Amino acid sequence: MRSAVEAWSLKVHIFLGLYFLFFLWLFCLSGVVLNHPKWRIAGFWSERKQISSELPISRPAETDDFLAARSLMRHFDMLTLQ
Amino acid sequence: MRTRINSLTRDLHLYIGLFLSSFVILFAASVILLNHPDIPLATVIESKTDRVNVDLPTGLDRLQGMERVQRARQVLRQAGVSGEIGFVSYSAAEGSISIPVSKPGYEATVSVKMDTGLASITRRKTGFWNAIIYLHKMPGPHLANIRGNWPVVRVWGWLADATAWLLIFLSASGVYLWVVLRSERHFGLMLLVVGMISSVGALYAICG
Repeated sequence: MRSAVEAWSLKVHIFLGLYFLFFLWLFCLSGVVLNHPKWRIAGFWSERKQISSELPISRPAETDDFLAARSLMRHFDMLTLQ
Repeated sequence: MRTRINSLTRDLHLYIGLFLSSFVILFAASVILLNHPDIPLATVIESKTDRVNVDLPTGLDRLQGMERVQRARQVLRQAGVSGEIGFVSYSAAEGSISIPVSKPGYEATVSVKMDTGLASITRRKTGFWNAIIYLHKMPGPHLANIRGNWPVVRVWGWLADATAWLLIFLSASGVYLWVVLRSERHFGLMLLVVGMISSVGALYAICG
């Protein structure tokens, strides 16, 4: 019984470790970068690309703020991830 | 030679893993709380306000960055408050200076009238769960010029970094052991590839 649990634990350890390997590296590296905002790699703000536009809109019919924002995003085709 | 390297890698994998386990549990629990702010937690358990007279150091209203924080620390010592100092703000209109202070499970705001030196200190105990959320976010990307002005946060920053780097080592040594021990080859390889596609795919979908 005990050896079966150990064997099962080892398999789970290996399989979960392999599946989440790249997620783990992603979160570890992003965590380190977040803790070191003075590093050059973390200095995105000065190198950002910003586009400002002024476009006409029609007042959304929705009264709820969230739904109104959604409506404007739909109007500007901002709902899809690009 | 190879057996020695394998044995050393296995020992390091095991002992570093055991050392990191409590840190990993702390970061895992706090990230769930951060991702689910609707989980009911006691945000402010206790709050009280005291007043005390303090001697204001010169230049507190004019200085910036770490110099201002160092002067603010002199005020905190007189007020009996310790912790990480946040953004110190001076209001010329009100003639007062506000010093926010935090540490795990605790927040305080010390507001000082510049003309009288009367400090109003509001202390709040925020509880255990907010303490681990605080540790998760510290030192973090904000207020880079003054962050780590409290030694505990500075040391915690080193530990958080060490946790991240050692986790990378731990996972790399795990992959090494998986390769040399030749266990669960095919299914393991499939999971590794699926995991890579999932993580890169998620990253691309969100940021691409």
